[in-house]
Amino acid sequence: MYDYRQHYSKNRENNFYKQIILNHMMRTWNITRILFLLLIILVMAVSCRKENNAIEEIDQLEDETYCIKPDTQKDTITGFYVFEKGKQEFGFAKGIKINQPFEASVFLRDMWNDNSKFTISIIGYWSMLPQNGHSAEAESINIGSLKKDTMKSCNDLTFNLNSPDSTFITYNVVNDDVHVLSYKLDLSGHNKLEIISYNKETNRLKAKLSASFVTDKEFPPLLPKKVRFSDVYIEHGY
Amino acid sequence: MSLLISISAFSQYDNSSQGAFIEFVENNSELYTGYSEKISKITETRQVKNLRIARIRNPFERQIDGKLSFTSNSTSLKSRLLRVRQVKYTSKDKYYWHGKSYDNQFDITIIKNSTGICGYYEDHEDDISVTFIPLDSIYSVLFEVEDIGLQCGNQNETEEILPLTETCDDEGCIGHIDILFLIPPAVNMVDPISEFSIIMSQLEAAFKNSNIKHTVSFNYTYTTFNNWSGFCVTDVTNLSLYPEVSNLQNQYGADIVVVVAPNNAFSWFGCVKDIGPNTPSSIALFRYDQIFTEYVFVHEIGHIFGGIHYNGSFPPQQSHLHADCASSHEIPINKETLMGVQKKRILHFSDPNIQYLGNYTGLIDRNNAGRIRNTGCKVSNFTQSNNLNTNIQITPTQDCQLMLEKIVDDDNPNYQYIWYWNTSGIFLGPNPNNLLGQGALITITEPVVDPCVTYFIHLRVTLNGNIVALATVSQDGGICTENVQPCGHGNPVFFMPIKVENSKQLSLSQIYDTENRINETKISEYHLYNILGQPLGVFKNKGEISTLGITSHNGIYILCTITDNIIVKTEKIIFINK
Repeated sequence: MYDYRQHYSKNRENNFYKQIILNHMMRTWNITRILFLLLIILVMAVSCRKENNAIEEIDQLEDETYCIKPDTQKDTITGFYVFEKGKQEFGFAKGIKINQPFEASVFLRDMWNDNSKFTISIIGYWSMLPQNGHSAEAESINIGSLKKDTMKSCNDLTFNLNSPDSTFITYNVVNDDVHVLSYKLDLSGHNKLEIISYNKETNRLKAKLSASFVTDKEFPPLLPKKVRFSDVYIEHGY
Repeated sequence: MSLLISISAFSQYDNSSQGAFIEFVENNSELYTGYSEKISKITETRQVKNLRIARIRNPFERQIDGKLSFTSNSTSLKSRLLRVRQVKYTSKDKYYWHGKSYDNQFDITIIKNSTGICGYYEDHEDDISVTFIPLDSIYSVLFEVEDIGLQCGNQNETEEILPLTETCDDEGCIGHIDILFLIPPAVNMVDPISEFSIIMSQLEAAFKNSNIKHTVSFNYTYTTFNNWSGFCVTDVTNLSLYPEVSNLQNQYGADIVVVVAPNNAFSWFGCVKDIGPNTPSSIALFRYDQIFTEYVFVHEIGHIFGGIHYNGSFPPQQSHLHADCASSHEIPINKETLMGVQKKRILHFSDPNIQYLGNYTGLIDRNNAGRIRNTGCKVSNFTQSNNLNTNIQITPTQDCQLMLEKIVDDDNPNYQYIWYWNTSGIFLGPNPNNLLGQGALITITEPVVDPCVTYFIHLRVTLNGNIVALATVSQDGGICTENVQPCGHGNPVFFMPIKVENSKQLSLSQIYDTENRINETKISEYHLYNILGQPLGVFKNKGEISTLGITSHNGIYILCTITDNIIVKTEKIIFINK
């Protein structure tokens, strides 16, 4: 699991230095300094308010139930495909598929008609087949369209492409450009995408995902009817 | 000497007095500024290079006996003698012409439609592919599409043969496939008729190159679908569920629906809903900006006929049976047949009996063309066609005659079938010349015996004296003498190679080692030679010879029967297996 608390350690150092300055001012008392002190107090008051908000956010993010709930479900099925992770040239995803660890490659792409939005594709690959040495795209979790201006968010997921307030997600099994099996979002599952951080200048992304899918067809045991991805950590551009 | 032969053979067809066949316009011509808007529209939708304006002549006015002197006023485009391969001719303003050089290094398709002349040519020698789109009724703009390359994976050639779930033999019937293109609101095509004509002609050329006799036609219309997700398989699934798409499919009697996606709608070039031939909702999708890239449209159509990328690369859990043999084949010039996804594609479906520049395009277990021959009728029956589609099946007989058989969707007993032939491919008026006969099935003496001449057989279907359907197919002369006469200018006589490359059933030890084999042999065996006496193979029985694909070129061969190391019989045999 990724430890995002380290991002906030600098804020705590800042608080420490502000306290030192305040002590020093108290020791060298005079009128002009009183005025200066009042100014400092005013600045700090504003600053503290911001810090309190940040601390609340930290508390929320430190609380694992803020967006992605811990996975408590237990699946016992076996024999399903866990696809290859690919080259992970641009990014990776790591997590649990049903009850097995999995890894995949991650790609970010601008939305075709709106470059203020982007999509995330989490791709797994068929094993390198001895017959031809070819590793084709196999498993594809597609998440679209996310606003680039959202640096941090907790998103509900939906299978409805036109949803105004939720993020569209699909899960397909493919063979390169050939569709094999489509899954729909299982609405009874815990389906969330948490953007931990996103920088639109560098296209760097950190996110977490939890999503369950179900399909009408199934090809057991390799491609089961229900597939659940939990505790998935996504990173791109680092 | 060969140069002299070349010049004298070429001069017979020299039309230089009429100007170059392709006449490039000077770079400083005002035509470039006059048509700048249309040219920018073409270049903004795709990555192009070497863009030039040219005037392309009517090939029907230049060809003589099915041969065209191809010339240009550019030093970068060599003059060649082309052999006509396929034509459709309605009038001077509506035709289709496809020709190929005798050395197979160059081929060109020229289509005249209501907007002008479009098409493409390929120079395999220099690895150049040029597309042309009309600017007006006289001038076209020619350009190369930048090679952005297919993904490159690790390719480890191994030869494990997987069990076949379905076969790729050649027992299928001939079908006509109606294709409907749908244009969504977000796609603004430069010239839909020309652009669709070009990719359809690529499909037809791929069929012709791969000895696939199915015919195709197309329509196009507009769809209101505009809900693009950013992911190809999601979009193709959504399209298959979009009621308007299936309504239009039925309305147009289309077997296959192909939707043009907006530029950059997704990361892939295109995709299909399913490996066919599976459902009537056969649907393919490709990005408009990739329309001329790596034959993406032909590749996706190949999937709908059952084509797969590589042997064994498909999960066994497919919803229906598929054929492992319907896979692509890599040829040793770093290219692949059409169903490949890793290397530059050639306009061939894999076939163990067909060559591309001296290389076999398939193996016994890589026979995509065989699979398409098999599945064509199933695809053509997905939806009832709105037109009466007609085709011609030509079968050589053992005595070197031709059996002509009509193929018509609707077998009305009142139809009359009238057959004609000529070397131009133009059959106009109520009574064209060169009547061959009448009847649903006729046997004729070959009208042209020269294997270097292509001629055309034309069928008219009439009902109460009115024409209800037409079909024209090309046929090479000399069905029994294909391998005995040099064609073109200075080309040597073409013979079959001495060994069959990568054959699964014919081991190298069985081939060519004639001397040793004779010494070892105690029982009868058969030694096959070409007409120069070069050994082609040693066989235990005669049946093996025709089944091994060694005789993909029709013609005369010499067969020796050897018993107890003694030649007991020498016979001339003719193969006519096409």
